[in-house]
Amino acid sequence: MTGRASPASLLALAVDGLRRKIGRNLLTIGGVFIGVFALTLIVSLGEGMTRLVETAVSGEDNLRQIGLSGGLGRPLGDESEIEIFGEMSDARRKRLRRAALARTRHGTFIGRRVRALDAASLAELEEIEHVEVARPIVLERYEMTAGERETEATATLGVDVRRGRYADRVIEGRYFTTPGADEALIHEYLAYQWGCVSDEELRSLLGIELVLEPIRNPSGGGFASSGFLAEMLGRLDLSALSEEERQAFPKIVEKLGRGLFGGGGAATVPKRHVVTVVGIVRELEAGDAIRVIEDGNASRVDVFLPLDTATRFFFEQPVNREIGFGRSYVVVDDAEHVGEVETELRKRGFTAFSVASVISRIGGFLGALTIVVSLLTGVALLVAALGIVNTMVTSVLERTHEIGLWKAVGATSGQVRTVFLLEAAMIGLLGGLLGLGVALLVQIPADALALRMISERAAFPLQGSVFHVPAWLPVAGPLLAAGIAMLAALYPAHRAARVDPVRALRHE
Amino acid sequence: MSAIRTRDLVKEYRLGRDNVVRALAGVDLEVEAGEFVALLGKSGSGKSTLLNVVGGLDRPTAGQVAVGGTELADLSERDLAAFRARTVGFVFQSFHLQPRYPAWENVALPLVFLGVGRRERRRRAAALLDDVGLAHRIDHRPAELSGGEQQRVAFARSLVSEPRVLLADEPTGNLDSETSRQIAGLLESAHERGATLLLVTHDREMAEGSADRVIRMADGRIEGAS
Ligand SMILES: Nc1ncnc2c1ncn2[C@@H]1O[C@H](COP(=O)(O)OP(=O)(O)O)[C@@H](O)[C@H]1O
Ligand SMILES: [Mg+2]
Repeated sequence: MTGRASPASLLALAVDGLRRKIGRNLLTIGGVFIGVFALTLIVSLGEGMTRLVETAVSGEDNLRQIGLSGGLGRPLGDESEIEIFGEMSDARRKRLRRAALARTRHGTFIGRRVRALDAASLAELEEIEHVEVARPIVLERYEMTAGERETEATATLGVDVRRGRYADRVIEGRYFTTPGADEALIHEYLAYQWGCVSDEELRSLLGIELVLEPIRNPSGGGFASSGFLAEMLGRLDLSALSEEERQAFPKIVEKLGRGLFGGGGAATVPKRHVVTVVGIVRELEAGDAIRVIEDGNASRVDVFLPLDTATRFFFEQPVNREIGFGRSYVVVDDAEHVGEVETELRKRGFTAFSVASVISRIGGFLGALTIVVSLLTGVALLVAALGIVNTMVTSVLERTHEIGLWKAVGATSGQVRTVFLLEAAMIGLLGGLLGLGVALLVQIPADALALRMISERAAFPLQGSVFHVPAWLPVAGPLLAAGIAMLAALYPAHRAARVDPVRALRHE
Repeated sequence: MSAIRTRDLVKEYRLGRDNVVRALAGVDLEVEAGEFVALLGKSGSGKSTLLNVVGGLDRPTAGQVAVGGTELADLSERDLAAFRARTVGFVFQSFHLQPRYPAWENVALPLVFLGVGRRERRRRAAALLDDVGLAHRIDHRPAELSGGEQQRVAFARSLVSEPRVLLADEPTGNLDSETSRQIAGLLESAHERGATLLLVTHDREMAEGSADRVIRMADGRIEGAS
């Protein structure tokens, strides 16, 4: 008595079972379809976004960079040190503490000693092992006059001439001659705003002089009347500072105010700087090598200056000498040493964030998000599984007579069970393949749409796809669906296998 | 060696706590290989139950049943299924055809569970349908066939795995006398080809005309036996 197994024939019985109540089975397949459809979209969206961020932002150069934020050179309050004094209920103390926290968070670095970024500390940075260069990010706004044209606040950025940055983006004219030349490159958008479109018109801008002046307080009022500063002061929580620091603080603020608004200290005559336009720089294009830390600041810049020139202008404002650069970055010799250097920088009191750590944070966030949403699609699959249980139990009940006949003519319980498990597997597989296929189809227009939406808002031009289907997904998705369906069919199949042929054939 | 042998066979159906139906109350039956035995008896006397137990569709409550020398109590669930597939063939009063399948697939159904390929199934079914005179009905569904034709399809199905024992439970109960005679003819020719036959019927004429031996049942016992 051999030759028992006959998968093909049993499969035919299962297919027949599927076709019998096609409407009902289509509904069940639809449930699986939705689950796998959502799963496919979400997994490939998560994967795609991660890759998009990585490819836009990674690259050997980016992975070697660490950004630093400057401070006032003094440690500011630690969150955990905030205490609310006085007799009050615990609930109230909690409320007040939360309020104090919220107020400290505005514009202050908390819980970390923040060191100033000035010429001295940059020199110190370059001494650290594995650090190749340390450069400030000099991003300043000036009132600008170019012949008859005037602007109120033009953003300028220092360009690292030694590393030839942006040389490849000069579309008209030439690049800077030296790192300290009184030259400027202007952005093609500024030229466009000035009405220069054709090559000839662009060329007409070469050689013109730009006059840059620190921005004056438009209201002309003094420091004391500056509503802005008063508000800023009100926001700061000075209680966390030591006595000595508290005394130093107003001085800094006063200088800040003078520098920013030109009020109060009428004695200082603002310096005028004159630079010559030598070339036109185009906007970033997809495919340009992007250095996130440097270029992240460049998105609104109209005038590019050689870094040393920009630094010189920057320090001619006394307040800047006092507080130093807002940001800077270091380039590490090898991506492998970034973690080490980052730790060292923090140990020395700088706030440092490597691109790599930011990428891994974004990656971690996207990964967690993917898992959470995948769990939600898991719920969809669970509902689909319940649908399968229901469909199959009904199917078994309806086919009791037929199952009885199968057993009477020699089907084993195992064969009967197999037929129903196969039927469920096909429901899962069909739904899964359908879900996968439609999800892949939907990705094409969705990708185009999403890319358009994102790239309009993103600082950098993006290349690639919002979706990425990992190689395992087209296999695992439908298989998972088939597996879940078979699990769901275990109970109905068991009931089918237990049908008593005598009873089943007695009642007709 | 006898083809079918039962010893003190008992089958009880428990309907409630104190309500036990004794469908078989100690049946001793011996059927020789190649013998054609007809089983007569009133409705409810236990004929179908006896057939089901002998055919391995049902397990007895007590007693022994051996078919072709094999003690059915010794068979596992799996082996019992194999026994049903190969050793016995059933013909039922109400045909039990699958309405969605054409005649040939109904005939070939037992072969599905024996792992026979589709082409071979169709070939064997066609041959058997030819034997019962339905070669022209091979692709017809049961609903397109007359009652007599349907029972001939069911009869062909019972023979498709070439069993040694044929069990027929009132195969003509739903048929008129003309078609009943056709079925009787088929049973006789199966007998002539060497099959052992156990036929349950109400038709005394058919029993006495076709069978080698007639046995009567009453109240779960074989009459005449003590
Ligand atoms: N599955 C069952 N459950 C309960 N009682 C049954 C069952 N099958 C048969 N019986 C009872 O057993 C007795 C014998 O039935 P059966 O063998 O069908 O008689 P026959 O075929 O001679 O008409 C009857 O009283 C019947 O009601
Ligand atoms: Mg009966």
